[in-house]
Amino acid sequence: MSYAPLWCKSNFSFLEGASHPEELVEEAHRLGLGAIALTDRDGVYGIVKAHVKARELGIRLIVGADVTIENGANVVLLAQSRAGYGNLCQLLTTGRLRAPKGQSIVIRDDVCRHATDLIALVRDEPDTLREAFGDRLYALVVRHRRAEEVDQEANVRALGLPVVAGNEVLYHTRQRRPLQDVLTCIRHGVTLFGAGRLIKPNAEHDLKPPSAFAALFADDPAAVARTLEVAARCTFGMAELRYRYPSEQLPDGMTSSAWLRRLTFDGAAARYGGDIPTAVSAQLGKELLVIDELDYCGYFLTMKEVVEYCRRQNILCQGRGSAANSAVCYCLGITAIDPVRMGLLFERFISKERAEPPDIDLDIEHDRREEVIQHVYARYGRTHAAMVANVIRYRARSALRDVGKALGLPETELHRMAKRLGAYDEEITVGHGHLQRLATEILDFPRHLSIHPGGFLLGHEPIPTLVPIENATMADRTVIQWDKDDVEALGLFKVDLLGLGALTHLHLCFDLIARHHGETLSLATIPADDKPTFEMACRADTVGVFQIESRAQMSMLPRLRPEKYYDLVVQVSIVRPGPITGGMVHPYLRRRNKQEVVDYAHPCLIPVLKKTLGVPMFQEQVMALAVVAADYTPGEADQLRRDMAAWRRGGRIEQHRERFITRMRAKGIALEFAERVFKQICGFGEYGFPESHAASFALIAYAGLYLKCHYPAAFTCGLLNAQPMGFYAPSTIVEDAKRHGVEVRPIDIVASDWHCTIEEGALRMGLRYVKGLGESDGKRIEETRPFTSLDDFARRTELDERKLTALAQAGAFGDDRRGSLWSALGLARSEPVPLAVDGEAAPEFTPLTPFETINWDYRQTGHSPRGHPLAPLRQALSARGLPDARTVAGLGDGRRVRYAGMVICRQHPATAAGVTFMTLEDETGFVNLVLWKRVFESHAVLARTQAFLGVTGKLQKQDGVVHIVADTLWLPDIAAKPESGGTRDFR
Amino acid sequence: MDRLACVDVPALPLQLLLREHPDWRAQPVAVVEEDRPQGLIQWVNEAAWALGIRPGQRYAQGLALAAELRGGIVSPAAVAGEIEALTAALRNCTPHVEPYVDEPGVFWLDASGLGRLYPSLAAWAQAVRLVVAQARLQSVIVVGFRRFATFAVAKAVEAQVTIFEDESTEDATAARVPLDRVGLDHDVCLALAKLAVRTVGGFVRLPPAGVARRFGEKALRLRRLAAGELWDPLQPRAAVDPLESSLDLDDADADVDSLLFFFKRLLDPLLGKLASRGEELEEIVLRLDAREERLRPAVPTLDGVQLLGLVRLRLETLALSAGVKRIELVVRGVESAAAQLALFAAKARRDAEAAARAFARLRAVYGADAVVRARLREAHLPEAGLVWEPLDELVAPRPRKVERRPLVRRLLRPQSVPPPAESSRGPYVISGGWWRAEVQRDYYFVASDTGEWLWIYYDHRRRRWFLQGRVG
Repeated sequence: MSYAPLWCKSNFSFLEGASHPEELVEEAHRLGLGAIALTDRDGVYGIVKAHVKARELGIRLIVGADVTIENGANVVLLAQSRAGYGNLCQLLTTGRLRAPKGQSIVIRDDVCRHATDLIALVRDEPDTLREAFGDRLYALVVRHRRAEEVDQEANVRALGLPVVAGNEVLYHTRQRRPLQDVLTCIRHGVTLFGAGRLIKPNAEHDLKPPSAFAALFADDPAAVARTLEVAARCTFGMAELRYRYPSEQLPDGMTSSAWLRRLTFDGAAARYGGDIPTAVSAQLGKELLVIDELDYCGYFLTMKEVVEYCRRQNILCQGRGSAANSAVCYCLGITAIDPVRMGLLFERFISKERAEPPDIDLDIEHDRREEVIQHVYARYGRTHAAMVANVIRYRARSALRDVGKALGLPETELHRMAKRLGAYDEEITVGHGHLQRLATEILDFPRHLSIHPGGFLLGHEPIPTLVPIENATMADRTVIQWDKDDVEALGLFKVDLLGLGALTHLHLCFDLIARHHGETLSLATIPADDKPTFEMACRADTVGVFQIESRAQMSMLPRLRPEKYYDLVVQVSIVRPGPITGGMVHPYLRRRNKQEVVDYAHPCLIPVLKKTLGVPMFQEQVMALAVVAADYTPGEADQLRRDMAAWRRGGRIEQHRERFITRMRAKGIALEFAERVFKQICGFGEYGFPESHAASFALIAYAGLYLKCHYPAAFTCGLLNAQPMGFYAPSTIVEDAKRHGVEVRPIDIVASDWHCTIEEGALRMGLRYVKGLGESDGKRIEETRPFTSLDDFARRTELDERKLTALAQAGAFGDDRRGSLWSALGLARSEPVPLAVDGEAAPEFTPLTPFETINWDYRQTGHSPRGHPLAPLRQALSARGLPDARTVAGLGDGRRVRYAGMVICRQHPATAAGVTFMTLEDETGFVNLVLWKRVFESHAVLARTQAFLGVTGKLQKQDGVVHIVADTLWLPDIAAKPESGGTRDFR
Repeated sequence: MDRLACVDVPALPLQLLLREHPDWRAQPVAVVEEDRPQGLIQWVNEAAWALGIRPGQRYAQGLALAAELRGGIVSPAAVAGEIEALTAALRNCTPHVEPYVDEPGVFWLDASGLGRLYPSLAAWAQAVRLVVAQARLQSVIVVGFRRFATFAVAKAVEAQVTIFEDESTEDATAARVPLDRVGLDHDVCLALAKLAVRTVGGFVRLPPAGVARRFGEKALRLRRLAAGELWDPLQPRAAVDPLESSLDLDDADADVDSLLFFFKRLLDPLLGKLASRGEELEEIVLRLDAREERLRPAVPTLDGVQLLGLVRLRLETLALSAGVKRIELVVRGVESAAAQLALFAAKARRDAEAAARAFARLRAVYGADAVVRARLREAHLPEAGLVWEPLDELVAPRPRKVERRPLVRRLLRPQSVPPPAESSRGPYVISGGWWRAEVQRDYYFVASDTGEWLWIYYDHRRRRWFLQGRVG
């Protein structure tokens, strides 16, 4: 006799269920069950994953939740219909919004109010629910082979309701019982030894085969049969969800389609100066047709509205990602790339064949993104707009720590073990059987819910009828119970509002240029193809320039030698794990530098690969290549793109290998080329850019480069005011500015504002760089100026000792810093002390040496306008035979060299086979180090901890790129300890 | 002229840790506040220092810098105990020893008037060093004229023994001592270093009012000490007479009454001494030849009769057939509590003091761990549902209201029984303990031949049936 398990909790009942939703569905299918209910605690977090698996296997999924009500009681609610599902989501929303993050407070009245089309399974006190649920109320009898259940069952049967059998399923197989115990311990913060009755007494919470379930309830087969009756009454499936994007407020008599068309062509007229090229008109017509047919007009109008809001509020924004493939997006002002001119593929963005919602990611100035988020909430309301969740899952280290704690292992020992693991290790190897097995099992289990960086779900109907909403940790944020994969799996629309520091930087630069140069610049008006700008790029003079400032990018620039905008698109894309592991970099560079003939293996590849000299560089090219060379349909090509992104997780890319290579061979393409292309496709799985995305980023990069070339003071000022962002610490940015002839003036309470400013063409450092000073302090200083004395300053600003001394040490009170510090210490302590003598003479203090002055700057402000910390030591360094960076750059290839500098960056890329890259800096520039794994390991402590470092190695010069391949690291034999402006360490 | 010496046992907690783990000496070692990743590092050895590990870092940070870092906790009690022991040991070299309360491991010794015992101050200093070395600890000894100066030099000097012949040399040497060695707060040291004031001499040159205003009273006091502006005499810890007494018997005696008589002779004077100190007896250590017995009265007392009663009870449990030739008695006292007010308080119906006295007598007879009570514990296995824990004092019972009295009476130890015949209810399964010793039991309620309901289980691991309890 079959049955339907009606009370099943997956691991999305956080730290309670011990099986993934998919595992429960798969096991139910294996056991031959026709339906299974997923009823996670106070949520539907796992329902989409279960739905996808159930759809795949052809098993029916009943949607429900185990709702916690007063006094720790619970009621299992199952959705009969779409209306019932909506009620369930609203009930869960009510409970969640009433409680802090991670909790829910539902009272019986709430349950009654949302009872329509819901079936309730109860185990106690049904009186209040009886009227609301009527014949949809069942008494739930559970048998987990616990003695106390005998009495409980008698009470449940005495309720006089139809009885339904249904155990609480917490795992799909008994083998997960230990993990369930451990999860319980983690939830309660106890060890297994002290868990007592918090953990379950036996392993009876598994998903039972029909025969075992029937045997368990052999005395009441009607209760078993009733599970099927209940299942049959629940006809709702997640596939029924119909999503409508919010209708924009349309002008009278306009449909959303007509309004979108109007706005698009108005935008096109503005973009192309009233004379819209024929190709553009044709493309717009084609795109609008598809958008209209798929009923996406509302989505585009919403994005347009958000962009317009940003414009009105003077917030810089720009669409990124595949949206840049759309001419409509370009004309609506959402993106800044002309896809027609660039020859970008609209189908990469939207296709009728896929009929999937488009995904527009909007980059917004990072420090003003919250304004836009709150605007979206305000415009659509909290019930129609909520942010998408991000599920925080167990990774190797957190798994090891939490499981180990539950097993009662010493924390220090766990810490040691965890340090030996990589953050993303997929296997855990430790010398403890239970720990290894359970920590491996718990990997990828959801731990708790977080918030997506900027993903919004907007709905025409209230969102709580679609998915429950709950409070996030961050104030004024609400979040839905699904992550972006769930949203995508259900075909829902998502709006991504992402923060981008580079846009903040550009905006600040534009404002400074307008104020100090009287020129109005914007992303759209920056002169294109500026020769000095590209020359600067060829010199890798790109500190502070978005996307092309990293060590790896700097190493590539002199080799690639960008001469036009599209070269920057390639440059942005090529230094990526995808192209690097796919082996695309060197072939492209050789062909570009005419060291290798450009060949295409087959004429059909020419249109696809011509732009990138026969080397596939972008996702769009791989898709097009699959279509033309391997006869994929566009739909198959898109599936290939998805599989590329997921190949590490599922190995799905391998299923394309045979088809891809065989078909290419059939076209007459050489096996070697076919295999190389396939390897490159696998490389994209690591991370590769779509061309449209690269084009958007390259535009920002070009703008930054242009500003750095022509307005270095404004560029630096904007960059310093946009911190934290980018690759380099402020000290490096300041040093770079000085090398570009920018006069940098120190922090001064008389002249400095909170932010850095431009002053007679020079850069005046802002009070924001004084460590320990807050923005309100800085603003108060600005407002209270001028001051007659330090005493007057202290009295009127009311700054405490810490802040006064910080300013004194930063030199903001003048050059006599020790005297200022002594005074500041005295001023801040106003309480009378014994023996204090008023009017005492200030002691004479030794003035700071130039080295101390710079060190004090670095210590208190993280930079120094007065010099680099190594400049005062240059003589001593030279005496020890240690050259500066400029001299090193002039030495010959292959020469052995000893060098000492300040470490500003350490990088340990996953794609570099254990190689560590370091960048050292002195007053003349940078020196890049390459540390092979063996060298790094034998000098690990020095490499990881020392900011002032010496290196001996061999100079490697190629195409103007200089590296020292390190043999040994050492501490420079200099007594003075220069302060560091901080290092930026990356993986 | 009076001479004194400062003995510095540097980084005492670290030395204690290394003394406990001599095999760690070559490795990076840290004393940590707690043995967990977030525990603060308090002291580090040179090997750890060389790897960038510093006091104030978290243990996790230290481990990140050196995976081989060894960490251990040294409790304040252990440090205090070592200071007590060193104080006692140093009294062999001079009667006047003052441990420095602010910094464990620093002692001042009176070095005056020892000329008849030691040929020179140098010889005396070596003797002091030897005393500390016998405790397997390293030390630095500075013999001079002023407390602060000897202390400062001891903190900075590399030589194990330094002797100043005149005050001016001592002052000049002390003036060169880095400020961060002399016990100034770390933050004050940092602030002064920023002012380029890094030595004791530089510190003394600062105006005292300015120092007080900026760095507080403690810094001012230290400055005045350093400047010699404060008279700061030695304050040696007084040696405390041990409260012990012994008696050697002519012949071995095994008679309890007789031994009690001897015991009384020893005890009475000691009780008198305790009373004169305002203390009461908390514990008796009774040594009968090689055997040692410890007894505690219910509450600290000077009641000799009560104490003799406890001793009698203990003696009666001992097998003393070979007789006793030597009796040693050590008593430990605590400050008397003001109990007079209790005389006016209404007596409760239950006499807790009488109960405590009874428990003391039980302990005297059956040993210190004899009195226990059951504490309920949340556990699935019936026999794990309670634990026995020592009962120090009787607390008033506070019984909970029992809504429904349990029908099952559990057996403390399940008994093996034959398999049941029929009439059973179950099974009710208890399984678990997979992380320690796996248990799987199927519980049943079965009717016995006599009509009694029994609570039994089948133990899958042992493959046998057991009686767990009876119903009714």
